[in-house]
Amino acid sequence: MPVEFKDYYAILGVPRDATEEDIKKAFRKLARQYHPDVARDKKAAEEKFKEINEAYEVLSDPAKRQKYDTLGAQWQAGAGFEPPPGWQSARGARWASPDGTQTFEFHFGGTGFSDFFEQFFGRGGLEDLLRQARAGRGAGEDFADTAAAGRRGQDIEGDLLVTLEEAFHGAVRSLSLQKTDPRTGRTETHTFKVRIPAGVQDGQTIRVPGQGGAGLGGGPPGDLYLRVRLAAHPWFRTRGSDLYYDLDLAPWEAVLGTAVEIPTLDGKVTVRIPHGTSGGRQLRVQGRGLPRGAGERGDLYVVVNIEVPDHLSAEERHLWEQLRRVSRFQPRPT
Amino acid sequence: MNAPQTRTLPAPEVYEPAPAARYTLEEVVRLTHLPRRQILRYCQCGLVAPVTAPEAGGWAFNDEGLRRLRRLDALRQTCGVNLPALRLIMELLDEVERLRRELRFWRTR
Repeated sequence: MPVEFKDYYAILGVPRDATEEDIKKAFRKLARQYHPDVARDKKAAEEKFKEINEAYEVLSDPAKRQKYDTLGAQWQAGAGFEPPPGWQSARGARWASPDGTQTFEFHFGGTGFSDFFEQFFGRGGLEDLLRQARAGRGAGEDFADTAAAGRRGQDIEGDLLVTLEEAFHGAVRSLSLQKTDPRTGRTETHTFKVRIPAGVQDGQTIRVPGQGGAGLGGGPPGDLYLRVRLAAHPWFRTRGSDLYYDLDLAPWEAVLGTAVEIPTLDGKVTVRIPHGTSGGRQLRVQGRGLPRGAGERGDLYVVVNIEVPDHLSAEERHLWEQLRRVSRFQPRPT
Repeated sequence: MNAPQTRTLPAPEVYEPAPAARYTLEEVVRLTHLPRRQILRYCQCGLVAPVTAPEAGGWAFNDEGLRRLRRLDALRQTCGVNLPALRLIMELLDEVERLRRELRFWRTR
């Protein structure tokens, strides 16, 4: 199945030799600009936000970036894209049952990932590993018994891109799953909606009953498992139901202490930075993370990062030099 | 070759995942099409765990338990592996998943 090639460098507006830091900066800038919470045209911004996220997902991971560069070496802007021969799709356009009696092609819509991403950068979950294992031997040669009457259809797994705001408030997503039976050429499109529960976590799966492969010999259909992938956020990182916010401070703010207003998923809070705060210190804002059931919420951690000025005026240099003379501070053991 | 037929099934439905849903052993047998004996064997080997202990009022599984049982079955069928190998594969998959999450957390810093 030919797919449209995605120019991830153009999407992030960075050159092909951009450093990891350049890519991160470009992502954060664009993610702030197109964040669905701040943009005026929410629908258009959401699409753009997901596109930026996908580009960042690939280019921020050295292994995926290398694969992408190899894949894109032959591609010319404006031209159609056919993967080079021998390229194994990561995510299935085609599915075959273990006994080889049942095959169909499938295609997801509404997951937040492009077809290009799904074909080449799907996560390599168990389903992909199993498909590779099956490809390594003749279909059905050692599991002839699995074609027994009344056998349940195969489960299908797919990735679902969920923004942090959707995970926070909960959301309803429209999805479509198109299945083509290559023997008959018949295509069926199932459209359905899935509620994303508030507090859903990265890697969690949502089971959609009966949307997997058709059963054999009157058996029931398999289920569809949607694996939640939390979209990268311009301000927050997540770990379970806790959020992390990286806060840059000037050296004097860290030394003398200060109060800083920071964003949360539900309004701003003022965080007091105690005097003598070192880089890497984590300050906990209780109960401002993601919901975790029973009315409870995770925490928000403010992670301190001390930035230093790279240009100094004559006066500033003089003051720092004066500080060096008078200070007894010793950061390393003597 | 005949022109492909396209059929769109109407009536979009909203699936409401129920994270707190619990399934009895009988329901799990029906949903997974796995023999009861095999499910109990997987539990004995620590490959899947019920959310409530049998002594605390019967077996009950959640969605994650259901998913694990189906993954175990798919692995066993495709790779034809025995229980120790299944346990090894499942542990490695869980570990890879955990490490990927951790790597993503640090990489986006």
